[in-house]
Amino acid sequence: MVNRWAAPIAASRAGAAHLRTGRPCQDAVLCGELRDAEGQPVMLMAVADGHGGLRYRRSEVGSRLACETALAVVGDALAAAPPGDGEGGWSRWLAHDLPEAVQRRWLEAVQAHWQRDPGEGDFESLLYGSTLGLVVMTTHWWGHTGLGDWDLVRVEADGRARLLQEENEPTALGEATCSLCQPQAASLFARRAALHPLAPEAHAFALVLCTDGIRKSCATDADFLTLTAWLARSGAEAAGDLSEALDRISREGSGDDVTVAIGRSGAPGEPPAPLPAPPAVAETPAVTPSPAQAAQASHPRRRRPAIGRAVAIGLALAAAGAGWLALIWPRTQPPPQAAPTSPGLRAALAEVERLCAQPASLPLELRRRRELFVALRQGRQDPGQLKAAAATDPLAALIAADLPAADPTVEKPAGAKPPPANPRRNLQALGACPALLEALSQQWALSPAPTTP
Amino acid sequence: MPFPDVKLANRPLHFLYLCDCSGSMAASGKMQALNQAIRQSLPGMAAVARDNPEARVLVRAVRFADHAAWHIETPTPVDQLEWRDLQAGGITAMGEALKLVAAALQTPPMEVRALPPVLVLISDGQPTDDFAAGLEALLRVPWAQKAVRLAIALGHDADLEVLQRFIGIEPATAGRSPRRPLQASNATSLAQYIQWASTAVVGAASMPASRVSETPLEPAAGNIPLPDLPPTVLDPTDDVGPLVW
Repeated sequence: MVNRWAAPIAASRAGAAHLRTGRPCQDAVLCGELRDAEGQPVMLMAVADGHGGLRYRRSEVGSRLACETALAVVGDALAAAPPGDGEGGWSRWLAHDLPEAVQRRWLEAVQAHWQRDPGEGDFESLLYGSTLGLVVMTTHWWGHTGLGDWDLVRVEADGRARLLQEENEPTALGEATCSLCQPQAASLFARRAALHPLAPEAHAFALVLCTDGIRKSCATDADFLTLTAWLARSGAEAAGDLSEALDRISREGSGDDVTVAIGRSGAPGEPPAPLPAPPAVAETPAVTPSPAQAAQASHPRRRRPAIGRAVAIGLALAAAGAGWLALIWPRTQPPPQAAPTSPGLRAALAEVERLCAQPASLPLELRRRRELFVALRQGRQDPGQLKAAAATDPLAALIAADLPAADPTVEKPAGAKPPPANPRRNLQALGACPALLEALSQQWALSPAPTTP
Repeated sequence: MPFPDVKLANRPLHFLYLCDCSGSMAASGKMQALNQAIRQSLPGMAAVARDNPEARVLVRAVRFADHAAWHIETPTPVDQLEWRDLQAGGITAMGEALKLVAAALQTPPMEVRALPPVLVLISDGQPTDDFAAGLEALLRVPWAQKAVRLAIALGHDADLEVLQRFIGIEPATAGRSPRRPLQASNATSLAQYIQWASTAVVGAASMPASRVSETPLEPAAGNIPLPDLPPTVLDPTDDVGPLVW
């Protein structure tokens, strides 16, 4: 059977309200490509939403561990003998066996985290509370499971979108949601679990899995479905735009963290392109990874080599998948024009636009980079390196580009180029707004160069 | 691809005052103090709304005396709100007021994606109608269950037990808590509580964090984490005015 699934693409962004108040992104996302016992590819995407608030003050860790645990549990199940009874067995696995394993191992993971990094008071799994939504895509079937307030939408090739999954728990009122930290968590998965056979004649479609921040940003559910259909298509054509779109959704909507993962099945007889060699994830991500994603990409690699490679491949495919997806997805739009600039410059331009769109959060965002300002000012960091890595960290590149003229008394690292005489011209050419220039000036003023002995 | 033609929108946050306008409110300047406190709180509330653009703060008010009626029926953006003075006179149809609010919290007209509403019940006496029926009607409505319910007792004749039933289960620990009726003994403390509810609570409700759903084993600690109370004359270390009511 030919694999018709493309590698999922994903993005996760801190919400506008979180940025304004200095709260971290408590969403997490993880996509992976695994292999079953017969060597067939199995795609997986997981999203998790940490609850936030003082009671759940480690939920950004809890959500990350939820995604990692889900991937590990699926990996182990695929490596073992398949459950009997064909799809019926996998269906029971999604509803019962997988949830029990996920809850048990998530609890072990958060306890281990607490032991490594104990906080005040006693350990409570509540501190790490998180939802989890999971989609598994095989050559014969695809299925979903999880708990909490995530949504899953199926988008047909003609753009029609249908909500497949939402939280309907009677106890989930207001901002309340089901959570992995609840004692009965494993039993709550079954209501969100289903297996869908993949008929050989099935047409191309996409699955959009997202945290609640996206739906809560839409005025109506019709808007939400239109938006997910657009995300499915635009994510395929220009994966880098996904992060920008998520920023806009949060900024103009709920202000919550926003996370999306998109899986795509091709039409019959359209096998995916050969897998590209996995580039280093951190080098050329087409989808800007959130800090949580970056941690997700590296953390499993240390602990579980086999799964870690799969994650790396998955994320790498997420970066490279757009071109392949464009092959299996009929276009109504003309192909995008060739980018007029380098990826780094495009990322920097996008970052300037994002920062200037939220002037109130500028001081906070820049304050978080205090160490970088000081390191640049004191010559401990080469601005050229940061500017060269603009595609992966555009804000650091902008800060480096704004480094005030060299103080002749400061020693530079060997080989470091001196900053230009008028760095402000660089940022102004990128369209930096006065608020951004002012916020940068304030940080430079707080980051004095070292005095000469 | 250009961004699609979809309507992204902040989430409505409904803030409802339920104001006792019985005849006793005319005594000792209570009605005047309440009108003044609400009017003076509006700029601060508007500022909080501006600082939390993800929430659209909409205000309504119910008055109750011989009967309950809308004082502000249309959910009104706080920056467009002009407070008309309430007038005192009559008895205390608190149960009827709760039924009126219950009807307004049905979906529709309430939006599914709204933030948990904030209900502030202000009273100086005891209900003279079927309070239990009114409360039952209110708490049958999911949006009322989700709501942040606060109560302010004006003076020492207010029925604290009734107000506590409106708020919900009393906290197990002793001491001041927003989950107990807030006792205002003079115009200053009333103004502080109104200010707190319309700014600090609105701010917290504008940025709710999700929380674990309630179970019989783990009752919810509240729909949003409530901010600390302002200092009042109830705290012996504070002195914000004489005992008047």
